[in-house]
Amino acid sequence: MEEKKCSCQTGTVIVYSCSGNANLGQACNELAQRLMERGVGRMGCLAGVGGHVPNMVLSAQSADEVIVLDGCQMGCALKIIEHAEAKASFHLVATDLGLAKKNGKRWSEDEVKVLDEELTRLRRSRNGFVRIE
Amino acid sequence: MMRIEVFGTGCAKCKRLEKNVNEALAKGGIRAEVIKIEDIDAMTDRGIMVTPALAIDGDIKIMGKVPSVDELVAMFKA
Repeated sequence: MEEKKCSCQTGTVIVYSCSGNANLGQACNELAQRLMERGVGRMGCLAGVGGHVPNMVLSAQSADEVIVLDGCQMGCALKIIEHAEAKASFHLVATDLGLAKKNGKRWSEDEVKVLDEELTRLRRSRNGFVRIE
Repeated sequence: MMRIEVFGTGCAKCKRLEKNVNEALAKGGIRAEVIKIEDIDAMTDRGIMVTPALAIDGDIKIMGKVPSVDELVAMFKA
């Protein structure tokens, strides 16, 4: 019988992103979508976690690796994840990487690239996979 | 009758959960309807992003783990 591959074999990676009104929140959101398309992980619904939707909260708590992307130092995405009693394996803050927050502006390719490269570096430095015990 | 849903895309771990569920029902002498859900979109619609998962009468009880047969018997009888 054919055995299919699924998240439970390789460890579930969920990416949660700020998607605020400024360029960097949207750059984070764009990166989360690209990570999903590249098969790095699945993009989680941060609104669902923040809204205390039970199965979404349980998903965040049950994932093997949680990547949290925040646009600025307010760290809203991380606060939502922590409020749900889930743990972030990796947390990126775009403004900490020298990127400028511009309210009401669109993201740029350069901003997404900076975030992507930093996340890749971080994950590689920890063998690309973190199992939360 | 109790309604048990097993969520998984068909990998070894998901199949083990289904097997344990059936063994637990037999061991506990419990009658239940067991439904296997393999469609990822159907899981996502229920907010399930980590598999395998198990629901009893619509409520998700387990996500990302395969409980033992005895643990499942206790859960079904609770």
